[in-house]
Amino acid sequence: MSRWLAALRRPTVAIGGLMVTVWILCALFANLLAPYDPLLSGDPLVLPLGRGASGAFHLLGTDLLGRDILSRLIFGARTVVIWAGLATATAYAVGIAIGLLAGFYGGVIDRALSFIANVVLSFPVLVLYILIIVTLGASGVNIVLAVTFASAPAIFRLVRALALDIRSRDFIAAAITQGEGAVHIMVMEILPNTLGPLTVDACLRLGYTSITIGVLGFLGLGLPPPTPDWGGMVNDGRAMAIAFPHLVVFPCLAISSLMLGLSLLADGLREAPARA
Amino acid sequence: MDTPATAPIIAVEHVSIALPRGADRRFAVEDVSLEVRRGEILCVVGESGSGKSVLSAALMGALPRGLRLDSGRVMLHGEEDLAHAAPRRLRSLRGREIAMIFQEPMAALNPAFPVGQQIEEMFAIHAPAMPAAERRQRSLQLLADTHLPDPARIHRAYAHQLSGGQCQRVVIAMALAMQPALLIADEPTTALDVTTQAQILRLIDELKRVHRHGILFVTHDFGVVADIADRVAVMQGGRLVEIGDAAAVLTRPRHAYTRQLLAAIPSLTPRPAGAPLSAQAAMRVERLSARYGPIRALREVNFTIPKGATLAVVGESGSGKSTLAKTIIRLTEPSGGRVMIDEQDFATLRGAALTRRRRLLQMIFQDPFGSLNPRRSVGDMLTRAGVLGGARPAEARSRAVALIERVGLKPEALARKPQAFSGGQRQRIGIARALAMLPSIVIADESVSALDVSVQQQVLALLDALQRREGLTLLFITHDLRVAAQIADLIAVMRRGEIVEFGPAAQILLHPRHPYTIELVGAAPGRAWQRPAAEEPPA
Repeated sequence: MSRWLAALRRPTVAIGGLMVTVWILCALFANLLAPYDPLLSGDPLVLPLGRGASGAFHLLGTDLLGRDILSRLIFGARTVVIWAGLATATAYAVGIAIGLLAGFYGGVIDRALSFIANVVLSFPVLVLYILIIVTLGASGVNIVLAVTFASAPAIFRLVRALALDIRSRDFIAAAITQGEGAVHIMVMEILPNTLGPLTVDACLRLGYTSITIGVLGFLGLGLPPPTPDWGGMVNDGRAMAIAFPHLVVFPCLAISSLMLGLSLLADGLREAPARA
Repeated sequence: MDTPATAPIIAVEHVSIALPRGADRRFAVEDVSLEVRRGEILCVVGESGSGKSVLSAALMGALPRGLRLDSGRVMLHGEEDLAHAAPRRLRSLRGREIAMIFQEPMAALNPAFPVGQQIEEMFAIHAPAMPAAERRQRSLQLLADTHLPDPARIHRAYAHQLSGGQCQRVVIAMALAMQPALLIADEPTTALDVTTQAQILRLIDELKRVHRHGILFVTHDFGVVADIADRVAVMQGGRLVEIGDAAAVLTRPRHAYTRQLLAAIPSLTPRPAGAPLSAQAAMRVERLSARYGPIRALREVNFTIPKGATLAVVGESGSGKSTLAKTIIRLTEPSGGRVMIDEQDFATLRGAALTRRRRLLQMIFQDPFGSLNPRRSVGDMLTRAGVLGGARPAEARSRAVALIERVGLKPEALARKPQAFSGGQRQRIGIARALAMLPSIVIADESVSALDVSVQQQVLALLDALQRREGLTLLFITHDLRVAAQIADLIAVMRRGEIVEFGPAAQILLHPRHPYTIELVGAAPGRAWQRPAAEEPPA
């Protein structure tokens, strides 16, 4: 535990952690934090710090339909945090499971799984997302499916490489000579020793997934409207971005701040001593 | 080059090297003074962490990151202080005045270039005017000087095409290129087999006698010291505790630590035979074979270990001794043969039957750092082993407490993770883990090779005591004949996957018959030297 406290003392971890925490709090307490209903239409295209005809104050202005941008960003955090978190977690569950199998057993199992992973990895990620979402339809669950399908192979490769290395250590040989079962060895002996590098990778991947959800939203393949969605907001405001930059700038800042926070966190944790 | 023969090449004067804050002591090297003269070998001995390697790095002006010279001077030829020389000056001196021979010859050579080119590079750096033809001529001469066969072929070869001993000769040839006054050899034979080690030691001795190099030889092995040292410096915890003529230090040590180190060196004389060996066999290995692809790593090995006896399997790297251990315990699948334990063939058990009987055979591993899962507490490991051995959880827990005390650790150790322990302590934990399953046979694969001599002695004593007490049967794999002499009732000598000689320890060590055994026993370093009588108790 003291290791985590020590890690928090690094500026990268502290700043990154703070940025991520702010967005998580927004997602958790969106109802309390948002000044308006994100779906409620009022005066359209109010500038930041301006007031609408009704006298309502909008810190970040309103969009084309007169919805409060700050409230939409706060509720949009919920979309990103929930679906990006869920999608990353599912991708990890799949990637870790098959990675451990391949790394532990090696041989034919490893070759078969690695081949499949390489085939999936050979597709451009974005094309893969679009194919899957277009085929299955735009919904949260399908975003999770698409992200899992596209990122699990990369996670698989990481876990497999780590497992191959740990598999060759003597404590695994010791477990085998004690008659431990394969599942026990994979889950209790190998997996805990991969957590350091995996945590770093998870932070980065959570960032990529957030961007992916933004991109899908921007392409109109995200969550169906009117759900607040940062990528969708950028897309909606795109046509009028020259005249009303606030429509695009604030959602972009939201996406990049979350991404930057996660990257800083990953960087900071990477520097942390690998040994427990 | 024209300094008088008696003037020191290098004089270390009151050198202290500070460790970074938070280290377990303030100085890596503390107030050390010593000299190396032309035509002598000064051996610096000490256990790991004694500061001997840091000292040798300081002589090259190449301290590892984080360490800095606190005080003192390193005088080259009595006129130039290396400790405060500019990096540029140091670079030009390295290789020309002082050259280094490394521990891992394979790692010291660049795998991407032929070794001859790497020797020529020494001339290219330090004598840029030398014509290419002469560079080549001189490199070939150096390879011949280090007694490499067919220098022209070696010159073209890459490091991976050469054996460890040949690589070390190439590294020595590189070091000799500019005829440096001082050679620093940091554990140059530790990574080599004994017979190769004996050859390299002869070469280093020849360099001293014929070319009059001054040689600073860092080692942990008193056998090596006895073979080649003119003078000996003993280091402990960063301090020089004793320095003097080799004969004097080895036979009449003055400092208590030196006496303790000397006493800890296992002797080549076999231990006195104990009770007669049991007529009952604990394990009978019959025509056991194993292969890695086309390579036959084990060729029909046969032997029997009586109940309660210790069989040491000795051999050099690649002899198949580790494969033998792994095949018996089924970490590697045998390609043929039988391993009979209690009239049941362990080698052909499958699935659940194998899992059930795995308890009978347990292993103590070589690397104390790799053999314990860093994420699990010691208590967790021992209890789990007990449960797998068939005990109820409560019983396994109390057995863990008893075991940890029996291997000489405190019960508090159970709550800790492996990182909290030293190498020797980890090896004790590894022993406790093996015993927690109540095995009938324990296989120790080079289990004391990674330990310092004094720790090695303690672990061997522990194994010996446990064996006598529990009536354990021990299969002990080692490359070190001295270790085998200390612990074995029987010795099997392996070479190229076969047992070439098998018999009682005393017979193998004192009257070897097979030519290879004779060579092996003859190559053990420090054979001629008898350690001082142990009447003086270590203080």
